[in-house]
Order: sequence, then C-alpha cells, then structure tokens
Amino acid sequence: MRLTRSSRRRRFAPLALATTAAAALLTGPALSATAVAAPSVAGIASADTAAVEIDPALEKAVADGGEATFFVVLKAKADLAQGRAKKDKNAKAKATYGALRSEANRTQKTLTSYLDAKKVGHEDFWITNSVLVTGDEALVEDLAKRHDVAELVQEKHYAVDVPEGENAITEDATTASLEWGITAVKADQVWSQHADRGEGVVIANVDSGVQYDHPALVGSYRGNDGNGAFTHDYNFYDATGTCTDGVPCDNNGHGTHTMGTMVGADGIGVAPGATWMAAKGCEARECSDSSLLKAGQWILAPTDSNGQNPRPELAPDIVNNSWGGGHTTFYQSTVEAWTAAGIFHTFSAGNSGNGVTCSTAEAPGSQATSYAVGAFDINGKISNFSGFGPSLVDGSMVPSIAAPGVDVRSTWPGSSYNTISGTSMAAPHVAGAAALIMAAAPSLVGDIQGVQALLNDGATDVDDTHCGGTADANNVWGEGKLNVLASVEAAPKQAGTVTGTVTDQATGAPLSGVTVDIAGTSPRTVKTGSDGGYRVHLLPGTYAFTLRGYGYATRTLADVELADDQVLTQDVSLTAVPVHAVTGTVLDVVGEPLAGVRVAVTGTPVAAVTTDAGGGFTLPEVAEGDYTLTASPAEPVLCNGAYAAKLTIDGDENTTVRLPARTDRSGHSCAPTTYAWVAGKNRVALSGDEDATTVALPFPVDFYGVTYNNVAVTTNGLLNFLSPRVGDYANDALPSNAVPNGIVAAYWDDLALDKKSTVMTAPWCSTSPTDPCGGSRTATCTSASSTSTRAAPSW
Amino acid sequence: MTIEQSDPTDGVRYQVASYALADGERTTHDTRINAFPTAMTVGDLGAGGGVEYAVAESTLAPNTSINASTVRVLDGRDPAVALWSRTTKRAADNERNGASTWELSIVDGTLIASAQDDTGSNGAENLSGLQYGALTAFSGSGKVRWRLDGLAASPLDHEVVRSGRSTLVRTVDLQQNVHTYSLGNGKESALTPLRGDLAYAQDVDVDGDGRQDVVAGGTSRGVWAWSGTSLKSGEPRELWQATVPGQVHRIETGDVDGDGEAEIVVAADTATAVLDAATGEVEATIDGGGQYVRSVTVADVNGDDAAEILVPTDALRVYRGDGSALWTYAAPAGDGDVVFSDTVVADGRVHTQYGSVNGLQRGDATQQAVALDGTGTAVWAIKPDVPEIADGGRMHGALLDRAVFASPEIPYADGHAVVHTWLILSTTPGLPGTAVTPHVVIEIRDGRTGELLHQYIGGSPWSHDNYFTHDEVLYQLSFGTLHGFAADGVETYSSVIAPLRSLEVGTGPGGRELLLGGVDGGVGAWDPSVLTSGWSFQYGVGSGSQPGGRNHLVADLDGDGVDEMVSLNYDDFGVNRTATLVGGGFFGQDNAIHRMATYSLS
Repeated sequence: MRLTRSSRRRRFAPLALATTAAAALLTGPALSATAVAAPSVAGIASADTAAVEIDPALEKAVADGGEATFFVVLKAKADLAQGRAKKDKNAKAKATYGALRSEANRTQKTLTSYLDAKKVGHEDFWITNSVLVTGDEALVEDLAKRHDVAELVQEKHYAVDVPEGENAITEDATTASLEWGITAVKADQVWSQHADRGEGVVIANVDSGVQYDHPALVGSYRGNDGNGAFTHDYNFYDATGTCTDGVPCDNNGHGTHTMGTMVGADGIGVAPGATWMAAKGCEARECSDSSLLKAGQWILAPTDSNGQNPRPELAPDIVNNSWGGGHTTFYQSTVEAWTAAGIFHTFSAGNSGNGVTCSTAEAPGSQATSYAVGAFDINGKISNFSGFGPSLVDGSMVPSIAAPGVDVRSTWPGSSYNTISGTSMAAPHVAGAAALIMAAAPSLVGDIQGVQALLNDGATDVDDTHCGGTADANNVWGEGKLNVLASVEAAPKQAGTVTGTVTDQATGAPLSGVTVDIAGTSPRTVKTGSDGGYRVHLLPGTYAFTLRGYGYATRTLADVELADDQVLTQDVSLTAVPVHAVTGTVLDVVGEPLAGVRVAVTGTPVAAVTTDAGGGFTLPEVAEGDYTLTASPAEPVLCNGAYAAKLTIDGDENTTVRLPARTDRSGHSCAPTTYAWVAGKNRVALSGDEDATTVALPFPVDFYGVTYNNVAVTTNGLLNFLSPRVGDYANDALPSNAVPNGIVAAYWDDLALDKKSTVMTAPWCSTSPTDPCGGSRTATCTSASSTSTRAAPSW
Repeated sequence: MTIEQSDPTDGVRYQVASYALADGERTTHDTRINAFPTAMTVGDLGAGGGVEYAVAESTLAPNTSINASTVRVLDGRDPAVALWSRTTKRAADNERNGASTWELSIVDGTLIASAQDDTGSNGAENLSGLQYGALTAFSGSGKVRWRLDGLAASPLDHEVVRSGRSTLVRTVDLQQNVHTYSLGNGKESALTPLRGDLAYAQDVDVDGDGRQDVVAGGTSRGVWAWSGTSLKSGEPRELWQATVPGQVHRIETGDVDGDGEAEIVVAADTATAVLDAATGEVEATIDGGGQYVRSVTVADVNGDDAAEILVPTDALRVYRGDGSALWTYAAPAGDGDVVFSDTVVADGRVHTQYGSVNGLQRGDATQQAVALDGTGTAVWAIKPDVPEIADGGRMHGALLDRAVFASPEIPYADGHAVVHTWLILSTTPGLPGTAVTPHVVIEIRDGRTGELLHQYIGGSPWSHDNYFTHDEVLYQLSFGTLHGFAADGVETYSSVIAPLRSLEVGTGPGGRELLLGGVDGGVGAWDPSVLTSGWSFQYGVGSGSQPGGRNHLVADLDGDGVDEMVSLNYDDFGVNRTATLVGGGFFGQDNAIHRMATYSLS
C-alpha cells in the first residue's frame, strides 16, 4: 500500500520551492505558487503582470546579459480524460495522442508566430505543450508578459543513474547460470511454473540507446524482420542525433544494459519473451530535457527514423527510465500522458543516497506520479546509494518498490557483458516484471493501476521506517522487495495460451522471424523464434491470426476461439511464393538517368543494388508480395530527393523511378534550372576579406515562414537574413545547427574583395509573366506575389 | 570616438560610435556582428580630411574559437566607411584560437600593428602559439611595408620612439629580447636581451680572483657572468653580458684554444657560440645549419691539449675552438632522419648514440650506439638488444638528454663501462595488462667493445634526469626515484619525497658528503644514505624553496671548501622541443616569479 500522496505533498510544499510551483502549474491549481515573477491578483492578469512563473535558475542565467535555453510552457492543457476512459490500450494511446497534438496545434500558433517575427528559433513539443527557445533577459521579460504562457523553465540535463566512479569491466562470454537478480525476484519461477516469459508484450526504454544486434537482444528486437533484415522505423528513435543513418547505437552502454535486464536472453533478462523497442534520449552520460521530451513523445506515438508519420498504436506497453536528477517536475506531464495512453512506466529512484539519509531520491522518480524503484544487493540489503523518500518534490513516498541493483550483470555494447550498479539496474527488473504480469494477465495491458497494485501487493515487505512510513510501505523500500512470482499468481489470469510452430509447407522446415498478427479481443503481435515457434497469452475471445513472412504467401486463420485456461496448439504451414526479377531505371529530378542510386526493397532480405551509368537496375529475385521500393541517390545528392513507393510484385516487374526534388522539413525544395547572368547595377558597400552589410529588399521575402525586409550580404558569398555577421568564411554542410543560420549560401567560401571586384545588386525588376526578368546566376529570391519579382545580388 | 563591445554573453558584436563633445549625443557609425574589437588608434594616415581611425577586430568560428583578425581603417569624416582592411586568417592547421591584433599605432603616415603569430602552433617551436609574435607596418593605403614575425616581435605591444632623426619601433619578444626596428624599413638597429628564465649555468673563474664565478643564460639570447663571491654575499655583481645567436639550451666550459684558460661554449638554439670567459666576447659562432642546437660537449677528443666542441644534432659534428670543423660522424643514409644524443668522451673515445627522428611514432625506428676514436672513426657501432617487454618487438629510437654516461666508477667492464638509454613502448614492467606507454631501456655496455653487460627497463623518458656514481655504484635519477646498479648485476631502489629533478655529489659544511639537487620549486640536500637504505619517500637534510626553480648548479663560490647551490629555472619550451624530436612531448609551465637564487649550505 502506498502512502497517501496528496496529504504528503501538501505538507512538504514549502520545501519544494520553485519546482513545487512548477508542479502546481502542470498538475492543477492545488498549490499557491512560491516563485512567481509577477503575482496575479484574483486570477486577473494585466498585460504587465501575467502570472507567468519564471524558473529562478533561468532568471539567474539571463541576468547580466546572459543567454539561456528554456522551455516556454503554455497554460493550455489537453484534456486527457478521453484517453483514460478508453479500455483498449491502442485506443487509449490514439485518443491521448490526438488530444495532446490538437491542443498543441491550437494553442502554440500564436506564440510561435510571435517568435518567428522576432527571429527567435524554436522547437515545439506537444507532449508538454511547450516551446524550447534560446534567448536573453529581454526575451524572458517579453514572454513573461504573455497571457498564454504558464511558466518559463530553463533546460536541464539529467544523469543516467549509475553511481559515479563505476568501473566498467566488460566480458565477452555469457554464462550458463541465471543472474542473481532473476532468481531474487523469482522471475525464473514464473517462466517455469506459468510458461510465461513476457510473450507478446512490447517493452521500451528511454536511455542511451541499445546495441540492437547484441546476441542476447537481437532476437527480441521488434525491428528484426528475420532473415538478417531490420526495420528501424517505429522501433528505434534517436532524439539526440548521435547515431548515423538511422541505425540504432549506444555510445554509453547504459541503455544496452538496462534493456538486457528487461528482455535479454540467456538468463540475463526478466522477460526474455517480450519484444523491445527503444528511444535514445540521452546524449551520452547525460540526457537533456529536449532529447528526453522528444523521446517521451516518440514513446507515446512512435515515428519513422526521421521523426515523421507518428503511429500511437505502435506505442510500447511498458517503458523504463533509468535516469534522473534534481527535484524538478518538468517530466511529470509526460508521465501523465503516458499513463493516460496506457503505457506502464518505471523510473529509477536515483543514486544520491548514502544508506541513511532521507529525502535523497531524485526526480522524475521522486515525483508522485512516477513508479520509482530503489536498489538492493545480493544479500537483500538496501544499497548504500539508493534514493530514499519522502520526496523533496512533493512529499510523496519514494521509492515505490525495490529491486536488484547492485552488481547486476547484463548486456553491453560490443556484444559483451558488464556488471554495474545503480537504481538504473533496479528499475528494469520491475519493468520486466510488469511484462510477465501483462503476459499472464492480458486484461492488464493498458491498466496501469492494476499492474502497480499487483507489483505492490506481491512485494515482500521490509520494515524500515527511519524515513517514515510503515512496515508495509516506507520511504526506504517502498512496498518492499519485488516478487514477481507472487504478483503473477495474484493476477487475474483470465487467459488462454496459443502456441505453435510455423513451417514451410513443402519442406516442413521451421520458419523464423514470421510475424503473427493477432486481431480480436486483445490484439497482439509476436514473431516466431529460431525454431519457428511462437507463444502468446490472450484474453478469452475470438481472434484472427495473420501470418506474414518474406517469401511466403500471407495466411490468415479466422475465427479462432480461445477459452479461459485453454492451451491451444496451432501449427501453421506457409506456402512459398514464386520470385521474380524487378528491373527499372532511375531518373533524377529533371528526368535524366542517374547512376549510383541505391535501390532496395525495404523489410526484406533482398540485397540492395546500385544503378548503372544508364540509371538501370536489376533486383534479380524478389518474392511475390506488396513492398516498399526505395531509391537513395549517392552523395552529393544535389537536388535529388529520396524515393519510396509501394510496389506489388506478381510477375517480372519493370518500373521507372523518378526521384522527387530534395525537400527540407519546412517544404523548401530545390531544382536545377537554367540561369542567366543578371548584370549588377548598384554597388554594395563591401570591401576587404571579412565584411558584411545590410541592404533593403525591394519587396518582403519569405524565408522559412518568416518575412524579411532586409538582408545582409557578406564577402563570403552569403545572404544572411538574421544579421550582418562577419567571420563566416569556412563553409560547412547544410543543414547544420551551427552558425551562421538564416542564410542563403549562394557562393559560400572564403572570398575576398580586391580592387577589381565588387558586390552588386541587380535591378530590382518587376515584370509580367510574359516578360520574365530572366534568371540570375546568383541568388534569386522570388516573391510569393503573382508578379514575377526577383532580386539578385551578384558577387 | 569609441569602440563599444557588447556584454560577452550577449552575442558577439561591437559598435563604432562617437559622442558629441558639446552635449554627449551618441552616434553609431558601424555595427560589426560576430566580431570583437581588440585595438584602436587615431591618427593621420594621409588619406586626406584629417585623421583616420584604425580598429582591429577578431571574428569567431562557429565553435567560438578566433578564426581571423582584421585591421580596418575607417574614414575620419565618415567612420561608417572603411578605407581599407587587412585580414589575417588563422593558420590552416590551427583549429584553436587564431591570432588577434592587440596594439595599433599611427606614426608618420604608417600604421603599426602588433599581433599574435599562430604559425606552426601545433608544433613544438611555437607551441600553442606561445612563442611567436608579429609586427607589421602598413602604408597609409594599406600596403604592407614590412612585417617581422616569429621570434622577432611581441604578440601584444610595441612602442614608437624617436632617436635623433630616426623613428624607431621597439618591441619585446616572448623570449625577452628587446628588438628595435627602423620605422622606415623594419631593419633591426639594436637587440638587447633581458634576463628571461635563467635555466643553465656553469662555474668558472671569470675575474681571475681564484674563485669560481657563475655564467648563466636561458630563454633570451643573453649570457651573463656574475662574481661568485657577490652571489654568495647576496649582492650580485655582473661581470659581463654577452649576446648569442639564439635561446640558451646548454652552457659548458673548457680550454678550447689551448691557452690554459677556460672558454664558455653555449648551445644557442641555432648555433654554438664560443665566449671568452674573462670578457664575454664572442670568439666564434658555429652555425647549426638549421638544426636545433640543444646540446654541446667540450672535451679533448684528439689529444692535442685543447678541448674540442662536440655538437650532436642530425649528425655528431666536432669543431676546433676557433669554430672550424674537425670531423663529422653521420648515420648511414639508410637509417633515415636521425638525431644524436648528448655525447661523452671517456678513455680517449667519443661515446654517442642516435635514433630516428619521431621514433616513438614510427614502427620502423632505428637506433644505434657508437664509440668513435679521435678522428671520428667508429671503434664499434652496435644496435641495442630489444628487450622482451618491448611492444611489437621493436624499439623506438634513442633518448637525447643526458642519455649517454661514462665513468670509471661504474662497476662494470673494469672501469670502462658506458651507459646508453633507449626508447621503447611497453606495459609497466611487472604489471602485464597495463597501458602501453613510452619507457626507457638502460644498457650498460663495455666501452671498449660495445658488449652488453646489463639491461634494465626504466620509467618514463620524460622522468629521466641524470646518471651519477657513488661508492662504485651507478645511479639513475628518475623524478625522485634512485635506481642503483652495483657490481655483479645487483640492483637497488630507493626514492625521496621531494620532486627531485637533478642530483650530484657535493661537499657540505665540515667536509660532509651530501647529495645536492634541483627540485620542482627549489633545491635540496640529502644524506648519501638515501641511496642505499632501500626506503621510499625519504626526507632530505635541507631544502630551499624557490617557486619556478628546477635546474641547479653546485659550486664552491667563495673558496671555503663548502659548496654553494644556485637554483635555476627550467627550459620548458626547449625540453619539450627535445622530446618532440623523438616523437614525444613534455610541457609544463608555472606562473611563479622566476629567479636565479644562491643558497649556502649550513
């Protein structure tokens, strides 16, 4: 049983200072603010006294002329009740995502337009309805006056929760025995006594990434298509921009370790039958607020590797978070959104404890809304680093539960293993335990309170009340030591089990990596293992099983009835389909054949090919079926974009692939065209090697959604809409986060003006469509008006 | 007229502005974004219409390192108009801060600019740009009239002085030499070395009073002689000052002209200089041929009763006292680029060694020990034995400083032993699995035949200090640790607690034998029992604290039979250049006030 959080929160409020105030704004008007910049009177804010809370850390950072990166949190909050009310987890996720997204779209526009007009770059987040900006005291003051803004919070960084000084020793080999944490929480007894290894449950982490092809993890990766092919879209997301080419990576090891404890094979993981996906929200040893928020959004609505095309129905059932620090409330709204979407979460309680001192737990684990995990060792003693309650954020009990977290051996990058300690290692034991519970009791998928109650009730009590609480639930152990066997035994196991083997109809050979999509009362997706076998626990009901595997005809078994406690063996054979050649020609953006283009059939083991000098390609053997054909031009891609389109193969296919124009996220695209020299007329006052000057544009020019009346021209071949910067002589690949920004890089190089050279502007001409002004060899800015109006600076 | 820079955290920009004298009204003439001003001056550059404004600015690369410095000359009538500008980009191999311009002067229609010089800032000669500066004279129209850079100018400032009808520009380089140049053509009219860091010294009787005086030099091109008794009494009396061709990296003494009086021989970076001990007059200058002249040995190699001058650079060159060449010993062409170590003369033989340039970074480094007769003919030449622990089964060249040692006290080869010191990459001896790092290999060989008699793997090459003997035991000092090599292969080990960097045997009060040495931050004295106790971290019997001190000189300056000690500074850039030659690097600086200090033993 947990302590009553609301009463504790009220009692501890004065201690929480600014972060408590933030919590009040994010969670409701339960508290009076303690750190408001300009207190409002009776809720009526004048233009100068809007009740916007300013993070004291932000105020300090921008004092004396400094700049800081901070979140502008809007007052408007999506109503998550609709999601919470849904019973089915997919419906919960869709409804919650829809509510958050539409509220953000509706309420952020005024703010973002204002920022655009001020030429302040911004990154927008729907999960917390906030906008990330960088600016100075003046910007803070301006935003603090806005009625739609609730608070301004400086961006923070969190540590992955491994104690300092941890000495990583990696090993190459696995061992035959079970890890001590597995037996300590009795996961092995769940496997043997309940034939439950977490099958059909999808589990995720927000961490430093995962080595997706680690031998102990590759089999359970949701992106594993079998046959050596992988699809990382919707299965791995790098919010930090660290990994290259959309391929999962882990530049720390921490995320691979926590994932191993959840689902690793060979006695490493609690739920080795579960399927995993992951979001990299930690840059390396630290995790930034913005990366964590992007990761949090992706967990709720997974996207492709480019962050596009969100699909909330692909959200995981469970997400583990082994990171934290400080006493902030900023991630709280993300946790609430996950909960509304039916995603069970775990957090580490933090490693700032010393085995004695109370209130050492850290956020987000120490927030009342979080399910936080403390760490104990192989002797059953609480670790000397595990964070204790009561929470400094809101006075609530921390941790919620305790799990193995000292000398935990798990997977590590380099296909190796490593033994490390931390509450980071404890939390994934609980996440894995939740997977076992959901597999045993499918009705609990999406039922957060139900899973928490089973974990709490099953936990073995430890009486240590020196930080407050009772023998049942205290601020050292929470509800006690995780005992997943007791939890599973107490679970409402109204379920049947379907097992089977998928084979080739002709040869009888087992087929691995075949996707088994189960539609019906409790939808599930599982894949066959290396022996062609699958196992899934389902609520009693009627189901349709659809089996898909490359090279085989898709087969659906409809109207499969499953009763409570029934164990249904359902072996399926699949019929191989013929293979055909796919040939074609790839044309560039202007219709000319293009060599060197990589052509691939995604999600299949078909080897990609490269177009020849005539743009031709041949994929000699592709099995019949519906696929996505992709074509990626080689560097330099120039104006050629990447192509992807559906392709149905039912015989030899010949197709012409025309690459689209390369387009950036804002919809700007480029295309080769014929240019003619425009003679310059007006000399720009530029001289020497490093110089820049601002010229007035003859008409307003739209550039990435912002209208400009002036532009700076530099001696380094740049048009800079933001400022007449000098010193930008070293060119770099675009797009880039580095300065200069807001540029048209027409001739970007280290250029200098000698006595014989000048920079001119062409006549600002206004012409009719029938008398075009002519192109410009240099930068041409075309207005959006119906008249073809062009301005051409020429270097 | 002002240049006003924004708060450094509030974006990078500055404005050229003026304030009306009458009412203080401010007018902005120009705003420069991503640039900060570093210098400004006002003067008449002859463009007409009165004065011009010259402003120097530095710009930033995206990672906020300085990428260029621009001098802009603004029209005095309309400061928004630049009449001309000159930009210096950072060196192509420099990814850190480039050069900035720190002082501007306008005189006689010429603009003088003092700027940093980041040429070769990744190398040792201008490590991190800390050794060079540049002085440039622009005409009124922006043409470069002359430019002096490298070691010839200060990176920070200059002053314009009038001398009769001449206008001169004076600047102090980073090695502490005052240069005076003609404004018109940049020609140097005077060079005055300042003391700089005095890192090297020898004792010799300069004034003929029968007592030893001290001759010292260091970072600047100056060499000074002080009366020994005056140093002892605390009132230093300068006997003479000389100017040599470059920084001083070694001072030796010897009778190189056979007149019975000692001369001073100075390894002066670009050349070797022979000075008359009595007057400091430069008697001979031996050009280094572009090589780094870091070491010199003075000894009679051919039995002609006059000492020769041995200079180890890319070859071992031996000169007579008048600077004329006697002979040269070079490595075979097949050995590639090599560098020779400090050289000793014993038993009528010249013992030296050489190894590949950049040997620590090479997989094919060569190394060779050589004994030569008085004519430069090899008595023997032997490649060292590769010890088993050497990573990759290969050696990486030869250590250079104090790496060859000979003494009849070495208890091997019947008093004819010679010690060589080589470089390897290896794990720490006795600790397999530790990181592979540079280590020294100490070899005791028979000086007569070259036969290997004993081999030992020592510590880091950058910790090696010097060899000495005591009671017929050879010792290697390696940063406070003392490794002894007694007869029959017996080895000893002990250490002192002080950061000891050099050690020799001297005489204390009452004739007491003492070990005297230089430590990081001064000098110290130890009882010889520390050599044989076998204990670690032993205390001394006396010490003198001198922040910035490291090198030392031991000499009886007042003739009372008891040694004095002189604390000297450390040749940080020079030692690093030596380490860089063999592919390593070792650099440490301090910001203490540096002094040469004399200590009595009592």
